[in-house]
Amino acid sequence: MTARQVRLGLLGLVVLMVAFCAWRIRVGTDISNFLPVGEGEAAVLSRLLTDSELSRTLVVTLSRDGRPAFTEARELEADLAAHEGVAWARSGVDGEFLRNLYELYFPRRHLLMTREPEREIPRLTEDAALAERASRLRQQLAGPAGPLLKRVIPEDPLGAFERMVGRMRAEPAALGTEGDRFVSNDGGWAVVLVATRDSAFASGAQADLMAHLDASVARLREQAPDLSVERSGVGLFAVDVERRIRGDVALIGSVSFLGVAGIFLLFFRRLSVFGLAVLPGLVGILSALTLGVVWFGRLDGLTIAFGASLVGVAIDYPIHLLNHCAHDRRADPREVARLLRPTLCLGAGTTAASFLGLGLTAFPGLREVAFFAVVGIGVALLTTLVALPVLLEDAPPATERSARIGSALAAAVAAVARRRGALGVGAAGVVGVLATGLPMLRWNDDLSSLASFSPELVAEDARVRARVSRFDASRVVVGLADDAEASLGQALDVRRRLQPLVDDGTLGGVRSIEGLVWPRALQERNWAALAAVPDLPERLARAFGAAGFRPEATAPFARHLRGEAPDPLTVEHLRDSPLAPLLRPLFFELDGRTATLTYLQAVDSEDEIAEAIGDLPGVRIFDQNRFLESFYGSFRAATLRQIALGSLLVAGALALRYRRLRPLLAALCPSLLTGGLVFAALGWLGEPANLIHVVSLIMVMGMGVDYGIFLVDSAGEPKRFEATLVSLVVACFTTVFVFGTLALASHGALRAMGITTGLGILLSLVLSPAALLLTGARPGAKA
Amino acid sequence: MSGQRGVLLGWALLSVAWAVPWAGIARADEPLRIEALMREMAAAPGVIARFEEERHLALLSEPLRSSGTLWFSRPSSMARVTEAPLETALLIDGETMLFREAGGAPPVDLSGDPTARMFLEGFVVIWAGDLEALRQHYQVALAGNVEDWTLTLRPRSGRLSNVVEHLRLFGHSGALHGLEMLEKGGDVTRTRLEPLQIDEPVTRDDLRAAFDSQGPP
Repeated sequence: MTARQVRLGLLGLVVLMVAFCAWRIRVGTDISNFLPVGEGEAAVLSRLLTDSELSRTLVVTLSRDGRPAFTEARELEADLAAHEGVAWARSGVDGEFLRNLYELYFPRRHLLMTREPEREIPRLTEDAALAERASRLRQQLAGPAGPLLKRVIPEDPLGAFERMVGRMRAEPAALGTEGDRFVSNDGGWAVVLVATRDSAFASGAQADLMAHLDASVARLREQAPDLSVERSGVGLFAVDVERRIRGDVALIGSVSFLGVAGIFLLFFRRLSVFGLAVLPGLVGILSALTLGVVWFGRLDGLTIAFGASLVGVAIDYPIHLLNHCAHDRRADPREVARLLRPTLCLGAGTTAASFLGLGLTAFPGLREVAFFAVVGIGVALLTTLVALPVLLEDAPPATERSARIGSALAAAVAAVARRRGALGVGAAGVVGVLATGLPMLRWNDDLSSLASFSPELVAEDARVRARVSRFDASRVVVGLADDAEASLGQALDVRRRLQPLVDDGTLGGVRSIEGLVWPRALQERNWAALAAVPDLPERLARAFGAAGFRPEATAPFARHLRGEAPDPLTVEHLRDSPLAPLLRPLFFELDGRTATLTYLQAVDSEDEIAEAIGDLPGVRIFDQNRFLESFYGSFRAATLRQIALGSLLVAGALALRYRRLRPLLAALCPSLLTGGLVFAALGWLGEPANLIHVVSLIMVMGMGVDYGIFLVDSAGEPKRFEATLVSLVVACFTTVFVFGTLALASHGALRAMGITTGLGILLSLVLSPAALLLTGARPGAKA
Repeated sequence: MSGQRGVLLGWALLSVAWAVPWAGIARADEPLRIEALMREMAAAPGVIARFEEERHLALLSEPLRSSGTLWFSRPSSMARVTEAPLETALLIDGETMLFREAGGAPPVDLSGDPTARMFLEGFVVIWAGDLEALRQHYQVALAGNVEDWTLTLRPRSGRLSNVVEHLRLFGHSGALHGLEMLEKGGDVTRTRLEPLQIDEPVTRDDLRAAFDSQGPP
């Protein structure tokens, strides 16, 4: 192949992949992708809560001069409801709510009379109770409720519907109302609820909606300049995070580019060499993008951001090749590539292996990252070994400065080699740092602490939450069952257990599906208990007659009782009715099972709640924050074990390759020590370590092994050793500029990644030759 | 359901309307004009009135009687407190419509009902003297003379007209003294007002206090 053919081939491939990606790529920024799957019911629930309607609901509060701005709230509701990304918007109770309630529940009123039908229905139908009921109804007919009651009494003289509505009213409402308008707890703000179709973490869709909201509010303010608007919602934070990351990317990208360009100008005197150096990485990234889209259908934004950083890893291979070509300009680049092939393949293989561990985790997002990394590194290696040598024939890199720097570095290594005592002091120093720093290391598994949001946004969100929230959505009682009926039974049991706690003030209140529908068996027991009451129609007619009602007043009830039992109310009835929005936050179907959530208000003692429901099968109290903290903690521990296992695998691969202990240790130790020293440094600095540090370390250790392998493989050839030293310096600072600059980010997770990679790779650069010397090697000497 | 709630609200609201100081609408020798009636309606600063009511229901063998007090505050707030035979209270204030029975039970929100809201809006336009708006909700007919007149309101809304046949307000010698509501099923409610206080403003706090007087001690 000629250089022209390779250029054209690569160009064609790049164009095709760019066109394909532009056509097919769908980028998500769904943080729930970085929540675990397949880790049991708790993980499923956590994902469910994260992507529930609750999390997709934006709360907008409006006030004018300390009073709720109901008029503006109605206008905003109408405006937002028309937006294509909005599933629904409400500023008050549905005008047809009472009618819908009546139509669904009134025909089934006698199925939903009481939770204790065998005990309570006989009591309600005693002669004395019927007489008292009739007398009171007659009095109530004289009051404002009379016109309503007179329509209901003939069919419901016992007040079954009234009891049911009374139970519903007794449940704490999710939101306060003034009239039929939603209002804040302090009565000063009108409230608009807006549910989005897309996930709250789909920052693109959320940003579009926020822009629409801002425009709507601006129009309202033209008419009402004193209008105050404050918002709360997960989507706001997603948009804020994306905005901040975009800002970070601009800064970090600029610093990275300038830094890397400076390094290439310094070492190779031509910026065009930089183009050759980044080519394999770019082809690797494009290939990973293309195959990722084909395989996953979509890619997460964080996956792409992380994967794009692969340039920093993949650039090591062309740098290594370029340096060796630069140090021997007479050599055929293809021959150089052939000589370096085992070294580069081993390095790339160990790096890919370190990423593969991520593919075994329960995080879909990290699986995507693993796929992206392995594909990207593989293609970058292939491009380095096959295409780059052909291109280098036409444009060999300059040699003089690189060669001089290589000689100087080799001389420095030789100088250190002659001072064995200094090496020993250095080694003792490393041991000392490890021994003192590691015990001081603290872990923080609350990843939410890594997020850094706009303080104004955080404050606004807190104000709105305090203004409207009545339940803690992140701490609920969960029931998991095999079907809807079993779930309803669980919800009923939970209610029975928690009601005493509500009565004694341990709990402010509960809200669950039990307030809407009961198990079929309980409904049938209600009907059976009512039908079993002796002579009820006759005794009822006598009691009502004695209170002044006409004899035929309760005849419709008697006919109803003699007829067939009504069809029990089911979850399906509710779901298919206009009252479905009441059901959605309370009942879910997942993976062939059903789940109910019981929301808790003003929890005084979580322990007492846990104790009350402790023996109910499939039921438990679920604290999402605590669960995630615990999960990330266990994932962090599992990742550390994977690092240990990965290191063993790498050690095995190195043993197969070198078949001797010393080169094995020289290649492996820099990586292991780097890991230990990064954690020790965090311990010394008092910076809590977290999952991001651990995951970043996988990459750093993979690159550290590369450095060790490159040095060990070239130690016997003076020229190659010099070239390798230059390779390591160039690769290290390139990585520092690409990865380490993430430490400048305002986002905590990116910053943690930047600190780990920046510090880790610098340590690898220093420790690699040191380890080689400590194993007794004489680098640069002819083998 | 909605229509029934609307009926009770309409009944309560027009009970208040009865208390309007129509005593000065015109002299006997002047032609009777509804515009003058509406102007006088709008002039009242507030109303406090005792009421007695009789309800004839198909459900009962004897008529029901009740009594209590009404409060009205401009522009559109009212409270109705029934003292016998059962203590109850109704409050309409802005967007809020609350009902409560004596005995400490929490108030029930009646306002999530479009028919009731329509009644409220109809009521507001009566008190505002907005004849045009009143005519949007009702067919309005004024009959008789200044000494003895009748204002008949027939609901235009399908929802309301399904339940209410008509509402009649009666006046005599320049004073409003009666209301009658005839429902579709034939039930009739007649209300008398005596005495009434019309020259003092009534505040929303007064209404809230009257409503809360039926609440928990």
